[in-house]
Amino acid sequence: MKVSISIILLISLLRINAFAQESESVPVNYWGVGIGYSLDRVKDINFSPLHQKGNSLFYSIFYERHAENIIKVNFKYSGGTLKSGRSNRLKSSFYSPSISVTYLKNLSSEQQSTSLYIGGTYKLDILYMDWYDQDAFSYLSTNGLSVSGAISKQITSGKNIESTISIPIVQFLSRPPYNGIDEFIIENQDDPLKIILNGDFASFREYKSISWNINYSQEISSRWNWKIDYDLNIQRVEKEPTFTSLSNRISTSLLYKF
Amino acid sequence: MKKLTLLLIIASLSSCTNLILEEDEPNTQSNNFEIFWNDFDKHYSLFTIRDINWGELYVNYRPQVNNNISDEELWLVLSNLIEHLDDSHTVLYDGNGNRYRSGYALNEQSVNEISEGLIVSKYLDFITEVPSEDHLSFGKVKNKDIGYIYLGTMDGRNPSVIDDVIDELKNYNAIILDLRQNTGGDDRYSARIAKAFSDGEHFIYTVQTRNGLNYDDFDEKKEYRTYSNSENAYLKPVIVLTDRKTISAGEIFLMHMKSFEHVVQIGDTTAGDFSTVSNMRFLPNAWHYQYSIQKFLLPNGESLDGIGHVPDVYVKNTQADITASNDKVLEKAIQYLFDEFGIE
Repeated sequence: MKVSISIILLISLLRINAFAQESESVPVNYWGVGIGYSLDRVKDINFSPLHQKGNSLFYSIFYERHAENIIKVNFKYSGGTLKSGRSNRLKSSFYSPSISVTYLKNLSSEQQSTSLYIGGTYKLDILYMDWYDQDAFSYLSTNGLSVSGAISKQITSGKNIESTISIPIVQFLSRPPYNGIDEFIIENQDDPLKIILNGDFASFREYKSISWNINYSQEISSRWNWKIDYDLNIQRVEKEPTFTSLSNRISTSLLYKF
Repeated sequence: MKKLTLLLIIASLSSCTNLILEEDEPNTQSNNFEIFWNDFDKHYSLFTIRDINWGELYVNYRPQVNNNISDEELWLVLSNLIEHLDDSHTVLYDGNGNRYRSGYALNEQSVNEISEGLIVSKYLDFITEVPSEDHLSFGKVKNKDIGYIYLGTMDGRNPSVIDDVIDELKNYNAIILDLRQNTGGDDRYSARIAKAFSDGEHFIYTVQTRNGLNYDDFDEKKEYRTYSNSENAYLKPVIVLTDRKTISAGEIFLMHMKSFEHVVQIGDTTAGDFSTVSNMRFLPNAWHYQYSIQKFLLPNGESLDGIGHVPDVYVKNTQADITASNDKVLEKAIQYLFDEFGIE
């Protein structure tokens, strides 16, 4: 229900502005696939007092629509191993899918090489950690709206650099209870999505996050673009059990233009 | 120049780990002790019920730890510390196959006070294992009108298979349900097995999970009841056999069974460890541990944690009994059925 409200809000926003933009310029659409390398650090007090350190590949599939304004839909998945403890003897698995929809409205009044955008992102972001077949587990799930700002600069014809920053404003946060397990989790252990999406509204004091992306894209043919991205994502949950994560990601992707 | 600036910005951001994540916990013996003691202090659920003065234990044990003691010495200190809890849901592992389970001496001793081979060869006409479940089998007591079920765990996949077992045994005038050495498992499994014997819905216990820093911070009570009586429930006399290693979900099963009029418990007192165990917890030296995080209360507010289910008829085997090929517990159950119900 909470997911639905956020999605309806965002779709409403997209619809109003998408109609507005279509009358102004010819849109260019892209489908893209990407692969990247992620360096992750997590400190989840529910899971362990120790830092969890890992690196992994991640994959993305995305759609972008560029006109005067920009719409982006992105699905990412990463999974791998986190290590901690003496000589990294404690190894845990992690799984991290996310889906986001972003709308960016162009604030620049006319065609310029540098454009400023402001808009919003709906994002569902899940991190699940598991040690030795659920002898220990933890999760962080957030879904909600963020305010996003972007700047895009055309370097030369067919070469572009873009940077986007997002900060959550309305988020539903799902975390394990104080003691990691409670009757709700025990009763719903066969339905993990019900547990992971059982969130509450989180105030800015309870949950803070910032996502920053910078990418460079280059046209390699009339139909194909190549892009390289760097992403920095920081998340912090202040209420017990506290959680902090830092993720550095570099990735490359191929975009089909139509 | 601009590209270089950009690369420098990215490099600076990616190296700001220590600003965002504070220093990792140092792997020193003192810090391992501190994390261990504090984690119990903040999360363990049974200090009040088991009348444990955890702060006093800190005063006693903390001076024994400094950064120069060996791993073996630290292991001994932590083992001795948790032994005070007398809670076999509290376990310390070193990650190399060694573990210390609190309050487990009697449980461990009971392993030698039962023999599956003896039961099958001396007391049963036949035994049939249920292939889909671990440690679930049934048979018939030799020359008696009594069915027999052995249930060694509550960790099976399909508890409704008990209905088929009851269907096989329904014509016998009594059932002996052997719960000795039951290692526990899933409380829902226990409830479903008990449904096959239910004489009606009864309020049997409440569960609360610790949810705060104070020892008496718990969430709302959640009430649990037996399943209501079903058409095929077995309502003739049932004797449940227990020993010191009947534990956790095995004891939850007894919560259900002992609320039924036609059930009698014979054997030794059970382990007295009811709570769901925590997630595994970790120390910087890669040792890990678990503990109790809940309290189970009877409808009258009393707790059986640390006490266990006291049997209606107390009897236990010794190792010598088993060596002499006598299972006094099973024999007592057979005798009880004859004395009380004339079943033979």
